[in-house]
Amino acid sequence: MKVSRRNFLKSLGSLSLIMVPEISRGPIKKLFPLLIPADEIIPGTPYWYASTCRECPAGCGVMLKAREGNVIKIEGNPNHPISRGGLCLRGQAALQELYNEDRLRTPLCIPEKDTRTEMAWKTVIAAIKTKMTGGKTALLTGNLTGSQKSFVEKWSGLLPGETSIIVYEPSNRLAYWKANEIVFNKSVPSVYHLDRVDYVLSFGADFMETWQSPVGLSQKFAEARRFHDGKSAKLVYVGISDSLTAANADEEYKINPMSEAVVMLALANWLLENNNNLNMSSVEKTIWGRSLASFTIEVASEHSDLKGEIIKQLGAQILEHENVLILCGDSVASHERGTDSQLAVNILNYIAGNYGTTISLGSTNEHTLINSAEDFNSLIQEMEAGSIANLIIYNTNPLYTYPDQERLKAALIKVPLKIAFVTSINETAAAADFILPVHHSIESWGIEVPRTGVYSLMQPAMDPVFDTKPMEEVLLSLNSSTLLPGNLEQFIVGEWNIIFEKQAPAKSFDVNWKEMLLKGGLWNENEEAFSAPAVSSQIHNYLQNFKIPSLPSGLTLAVNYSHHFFDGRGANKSWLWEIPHPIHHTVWDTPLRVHPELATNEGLKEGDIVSLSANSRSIEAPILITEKLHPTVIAIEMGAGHTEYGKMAVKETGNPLQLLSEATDILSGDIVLLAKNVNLKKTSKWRKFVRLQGSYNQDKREIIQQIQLSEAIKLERNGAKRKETHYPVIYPIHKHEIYDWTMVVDLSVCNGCGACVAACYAENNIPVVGKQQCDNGREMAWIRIERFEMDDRSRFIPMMCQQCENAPCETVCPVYATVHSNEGLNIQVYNRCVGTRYCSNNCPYKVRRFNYFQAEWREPMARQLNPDIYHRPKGVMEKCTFCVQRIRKAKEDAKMEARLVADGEILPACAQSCPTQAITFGSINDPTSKVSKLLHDFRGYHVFENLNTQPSVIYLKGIKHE
Amino acid sequence: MNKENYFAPMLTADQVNSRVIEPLKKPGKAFYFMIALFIGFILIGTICLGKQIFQGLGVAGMNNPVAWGIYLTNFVFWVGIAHSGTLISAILYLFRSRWRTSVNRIAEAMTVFAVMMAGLFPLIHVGRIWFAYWLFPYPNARTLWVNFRSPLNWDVFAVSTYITVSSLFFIVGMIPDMAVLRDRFKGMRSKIYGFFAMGWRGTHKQWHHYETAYLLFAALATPLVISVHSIVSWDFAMSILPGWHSTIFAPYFVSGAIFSGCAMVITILYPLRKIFHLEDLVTEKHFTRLAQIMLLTSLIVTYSYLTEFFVAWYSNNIFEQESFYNRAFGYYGVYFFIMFICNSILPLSIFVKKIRTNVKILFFISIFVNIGMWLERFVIIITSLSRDFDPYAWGNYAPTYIEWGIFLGSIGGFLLLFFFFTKFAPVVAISEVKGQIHHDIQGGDHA
Repeated sequence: MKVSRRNFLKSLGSLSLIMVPEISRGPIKKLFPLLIPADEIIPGTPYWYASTCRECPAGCGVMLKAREGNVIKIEGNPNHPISRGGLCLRGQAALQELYNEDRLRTPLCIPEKDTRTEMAWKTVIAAIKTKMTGGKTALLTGNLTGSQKSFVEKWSGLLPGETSIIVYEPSNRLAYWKANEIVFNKSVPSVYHLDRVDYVLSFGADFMETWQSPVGLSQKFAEARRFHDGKSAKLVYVGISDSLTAANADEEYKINPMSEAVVMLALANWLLENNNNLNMSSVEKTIWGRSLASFTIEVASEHSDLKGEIIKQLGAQILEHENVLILCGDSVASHERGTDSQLAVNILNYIAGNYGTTISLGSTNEHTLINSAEDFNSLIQEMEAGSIANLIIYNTNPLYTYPDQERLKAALIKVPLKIAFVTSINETAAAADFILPVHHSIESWGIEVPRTGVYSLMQPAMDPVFDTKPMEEVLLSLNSSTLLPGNLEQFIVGEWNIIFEKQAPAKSFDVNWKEMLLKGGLWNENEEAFSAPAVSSQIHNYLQNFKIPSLPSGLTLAVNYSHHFFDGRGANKSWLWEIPHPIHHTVWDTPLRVHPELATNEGLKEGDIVSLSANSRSIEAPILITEKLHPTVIAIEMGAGHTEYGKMAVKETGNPLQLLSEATDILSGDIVLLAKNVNLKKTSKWRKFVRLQGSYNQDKREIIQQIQLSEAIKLERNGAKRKETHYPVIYPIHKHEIYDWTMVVDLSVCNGCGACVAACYAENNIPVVGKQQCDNGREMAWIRIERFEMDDRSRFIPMMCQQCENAPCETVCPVYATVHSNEGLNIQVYNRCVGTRYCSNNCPYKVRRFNYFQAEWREPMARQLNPDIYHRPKGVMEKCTFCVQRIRKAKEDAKMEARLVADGEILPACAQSCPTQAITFGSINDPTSKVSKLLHDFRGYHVFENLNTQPSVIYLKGIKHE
Repeated sequence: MNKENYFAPMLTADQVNSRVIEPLKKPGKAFYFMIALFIGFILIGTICLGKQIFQGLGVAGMNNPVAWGIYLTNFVFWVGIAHSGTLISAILYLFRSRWRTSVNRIAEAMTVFAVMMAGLFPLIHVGRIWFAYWLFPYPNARTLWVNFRSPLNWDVFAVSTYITVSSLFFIVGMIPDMAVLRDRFKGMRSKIYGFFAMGWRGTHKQWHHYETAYLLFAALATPLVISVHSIVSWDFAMSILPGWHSTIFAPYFVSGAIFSGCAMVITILYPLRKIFHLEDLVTEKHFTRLAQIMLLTSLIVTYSYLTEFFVAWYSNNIFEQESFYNRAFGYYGVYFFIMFICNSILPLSIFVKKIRTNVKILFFISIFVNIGMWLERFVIIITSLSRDFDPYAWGNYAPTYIEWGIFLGSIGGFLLLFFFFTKFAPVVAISEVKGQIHHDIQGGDHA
């Protein structure tokens, strides 16, 4: 047969088709887990969902950025009344819980110890239903507000048996209410107007990191502290241990533990005598004088270890300033007499005339349920007595946070049915019979009410990452009722309807609901009206019978809330371990801070591991020597010592909460965070601390510069301008015709909290390298907070690529992998980089980061990655880009509308997240832009000005208070 | 003209032939053992390099701020060693130093092999070795070019020029000797020697051309001795880093290079002379001359060390002062003092004639100088980087086994090449020595 060429090709084609193996249909995987229908989504466009942060009880508003169905970034909601746009590093790291490798993926049943059986939702619900008896049901939860409180109350009301709801978190709030009740007859929280102050005297109130609402308070305080019109608020800190707020203070004093109440009352007494403009009647003054008579400076001085002159000096400072606020916080006042300290600060504020100007009384938040530690103690007693049949645990981890774990464990065993709702398994969940994976707050509906009048929404921003359910829906399937709607969304809409009707706006519900979803909630723009409250008569009685708290003998251990892990819940997030702690500055550890006096007595050096024992329990921790403690105090943060909290949790250091006693504040029942009579014993072990900073002494380098307040006032009055230095250069000068991007960092407000660092990790896909590589000096952070000790004060400066005009890195790169853009940016071309690392050597700011290894992004954490950012391979250099992807986006948007980018349209991640808005960004080619106005500010300077690198980052000198 | 006789008395031309050609015969067991050892070194180095390429540079010890580690130390060290060859063959040739004839071949071989090793290190050191060719300006479709402002790029040209010129010089210098070998051997070996002899017959005309060419090469190579190491020094001096940014670097590095090169020649010549029984050709006097160069360059280097400290103190610049304080008393201070003893104190003993003429002692001194000069580069590169402008970024560096393994590999490579050289080419320039002997016996002076 003769085969034509055509036929040959035909048969070849059909033959090869037959040869093709059968195409099998794999399991259907969603490329994008979509909430928005596919036809409405535009790939590459981010969708923003307003929601509420649940990482601490503050309730900051957040915006969740979703790309292709994955939430990739959390930012502060600029409209939200609590946080006003900033977000702390803990809030931003919530993503690392959402995508945590150790997140529970399926329901687990623990039939006996050490066995965990995976179960399907249907089976597990059925199993729980059969096990649930009609006895008393207790719900043990974390912070419970808004819709969850309402739901839990409604649901438990439908149960056949007796029920009780107990909120247990190691946070103190009741003492503040109780103190207000005693002094003003109102059991309400106080509201602090830090934006109106000239002078803050903080007794252990760490409002920059953990106290109350740190982002909101930092933001407000920054408004008062940012130098303008000859004013900058002064901060004085009196406490027993070190903290970020203490480090930022202009003066810092250490007192004996448990002595703060006497100091405050003595100050009140002193003010009463020395204030000639006292705003009270002579009768009232006499009454107060009688009540406070026994609190003299001498008594306070003897009691607190604080010199009499210093107390007088503090009093004089209070008199000197117009708008004063005195705060008293948990780090000093979490002890058996904590309420007395709050009461004392109320009296001091009252006598200083602060009520009505810088402080006011809020109103009872009926949407929040708060219990005391005492209530939890009684729950344990009930469990021990065997009267609790069913225990439902949600969003709390008492087996980490409760001091006497043995007792709690034994009590839990007596409960026949324990169900834990968790996102990731923790210690308490591990002791339950059923562990049910619930939605993360990012995946769930909800209404938070952080304070009266603020209704903050939570809405799912993505499809659940795993096979999880919202807690409410699981509870419904356990005990469904016609009284409650079948799913959570319906319930939330119903709840919102109630709020909506109460607030009675003119709009229809649908419009309001949609508007609220965009905005993030409903709130009064203006803070509640406030006035000076009347003092209750019983206070004088109380003061006359006041017994001065006895000082603890021996060594006192202060257990602090952690700036990074709060009450330990952040310990499974790698960013939080890798970002250096602003104070002790170690990564991947929580050291025990010890005074040098004690260290010498005990023969301890840094890194020595000591055994601490108190209340017949003991832990081990490595020590770090710091002078910023009272000599009788040792301090450690919560966070380490988890036994069941995933791979990231650091286990080597013990859980300090175990050393506390179960005793509570006598008046309010709040938890006690001071352990008395602690026994410290040296062990033979030693551990190296990994610090990312080489030295804390900047000598005469003038990296951080400060200016005396009086000098600043003078210069401002004279209309002084920044001195610019230009030395001759041999290369042509760059021209920036359209934009010239510039960043201004105001050091008078930067408090070193590290929110910008977390934002940068999230935005720019910066890999976490772990403790060992941090020790080797291979951390990858593009922005860092440098801390230098200046005249015994810690001062902070964020350091990122300075985008120099005469960039030393650009001239030495042999392949033009780093070049200057026509917008003033120093561009790193990853694809062209060969990796000679000469640029890094020649960078005086040492802000360049080299990829010594291939960054590893494991599922599901890889879903957090920002698709706008290139994944840098091993062997290339990288650095801060001023968030060039955001600049691009804004320019593209502007181009579509045929205009230039407006000022404020571009916010780099660091500037966006900054709670104090220390960072301003924009183009100096636009004369009306914010940066243009700050460009010639007399406080402006460049770091290493003499090198003539001409950076695009201008720092404004910090203010040094006299 | 100095009539000093540098060779053993009564040495004849025939004896020279046999002395030099003897080692080229079938090697003994020890030779094979050494070859195996060096191949072992190279294997270790290759495995380490492989691990580094696959896993990333993180397996080495470099970090932020010390982004350049001992790879660059090794680079400068090998380039430095490569300097004595050209110095001895070219500069001393132009100066008509008669003693060079016995040692110039070894020095040249050392130059070529050392610069080969040196050339490897910048490649090993970059993050993406597979793109290292981007450092060459070659026409490409992406219209990418190299940055001629970068000293690293000058380095590319300096080192590649140097490797070309020194190899040519080495090969050209061997032409007459290759002809001798071509005639002495038979078979394959003869053919190979014949190829390198390039048809050499020893005619008067050939000699005339040859001498002219050699002179020209010497004249060409002489500026390279100065320029190559100056450019290497500018890798550092052109940066803004305190401890690097200094105008003294070029002369400082060049003299350092000659210093280390001469030391390496002594280190190699001493055992070679013993093994190959070259005592008649390479005498104490040669060693003494090398030692004298070492002494001179050691003094220059010492002067540079002291000047740097003086300038740092005098500048009243905190960055400079901290950098040099750290160099002497910081984390790496001990290495600075070891370096100072090796490079500045020990060589002073060369002033003593008894030591100068004692080959054994010179050999020991040379070993210490080698160590000292390696440490000098280590101290300059690593301590300057470890503490520069911003105290936040201060940090220390320690080489890992990967870096040591690769260094060992380069030593293996160098020695392997050298061992092959001793078995395949005359270690002493036969024709030149013969000419010199003739010259000395006749007492004439053609020049």
